[in-house]
Amino acid sequence: MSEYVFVGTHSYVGTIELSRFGQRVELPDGVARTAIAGGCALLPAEEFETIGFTAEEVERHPYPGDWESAPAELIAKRCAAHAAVARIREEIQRGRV
Amino acid sequence: MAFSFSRNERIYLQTETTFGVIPNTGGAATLSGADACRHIRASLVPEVELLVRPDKTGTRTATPGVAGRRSGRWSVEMSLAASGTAGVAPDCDPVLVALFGQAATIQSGVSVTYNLADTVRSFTLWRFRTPSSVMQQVAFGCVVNEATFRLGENIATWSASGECKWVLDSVNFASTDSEGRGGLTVFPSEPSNPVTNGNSIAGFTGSITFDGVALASIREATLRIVTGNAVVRDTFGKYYGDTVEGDLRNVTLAFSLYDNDEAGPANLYQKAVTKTPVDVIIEIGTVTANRWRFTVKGVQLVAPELNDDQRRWVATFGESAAHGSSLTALDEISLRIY
Repeated sequence: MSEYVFVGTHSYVGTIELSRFGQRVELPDGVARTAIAGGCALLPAEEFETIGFTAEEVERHPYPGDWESAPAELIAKRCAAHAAVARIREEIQRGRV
Repeated sequence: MAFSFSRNERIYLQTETTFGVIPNTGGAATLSGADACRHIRASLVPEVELLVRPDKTGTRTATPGVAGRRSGRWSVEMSLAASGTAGVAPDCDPVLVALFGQAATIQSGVSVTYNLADTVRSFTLWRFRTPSSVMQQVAFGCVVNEATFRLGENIATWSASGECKWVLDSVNFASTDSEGRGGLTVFPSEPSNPVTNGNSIAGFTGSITFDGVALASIREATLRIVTGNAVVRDTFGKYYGDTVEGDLRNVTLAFSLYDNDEAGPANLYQKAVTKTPVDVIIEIGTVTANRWRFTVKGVQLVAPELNDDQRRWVATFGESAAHGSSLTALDEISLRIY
């Protein structure tokens, strides 16, 4: 089990509902890999921390609508998070992870 | 005895690399929770012709027949929902790939765009119900015949249907010939941890632009794509369809708007008479990464019918065909999710 952080808008992984940006969840790594391969925007917690979101930023932008007026620098951080997920997804699809 | 509740159902979608071959490794389906897709309803129907000898018997009693060629049909209806992450294909991607004829163009972190191709692509549609002891099904060699997208609903939905090579099931698996097994040696159980993504869209949000002018008085619209795709089912010596074929593609748009004296509707009324093609951009949804933009080119409008059934006059344009910008552009419709 490892800790992952959700950086998408809404997903189900099995019966676990992920509905808030920044939502933390403990998942077996195999399940997390399946979720990421299936389009779920999950990041390993340690990777999420390196992007530099502040607790306040995460707290203020839980839902998609909250992001429409988010400052550019915060949106850039979210893009970085999504790029990191895309990189992991590609590694999974190539069988490297 | 166990019954299955209608709600206890999940579907899984996989793009096929070879028509009529369920994605597999050494006969084991390569199905995973990553292939799950939420849906409203799905239908998978196997069809077996009954071959009845037509000769007279001397009485009026009908004679029993024997099983003939096998095929199937499928349909799905689901909410319009992107993955929620820009540049990541939606869960329904295999159906859209089969609808448009090629894989989407992914612009990482920005958009997913489906453009038309004249190739015919197929996918595998799994249906798992609980308890697992009831019959489970998989339609493989699925081609899209028709898809409909609707604008103006509370929850935006779309539906698609078509035919398939065969609908295999867990009850009949052991007695099914190898062709009917689609490459499998065992019928799989449902993957654990199905993954589904994305929010639904308020179907009355977005915009619609005709001929470069946004129409504020639009009420509802229906975009329909009839692909002309089919499974070839008359090859000599074959009980199953063995390949695919395509015919004329027909993209139509039907819509209604509140009649008024502004320039936008007046332009459409004129173009409906002159049959001058107009380009239409329909965007459903307003939230980033969950906006579905359909660009429909060269629409020749059907003359509208003015309807006084409601408090305000409504102009209803029937199914108007799109023709694209040229024969080679294949751009009568494209879809960008961003």
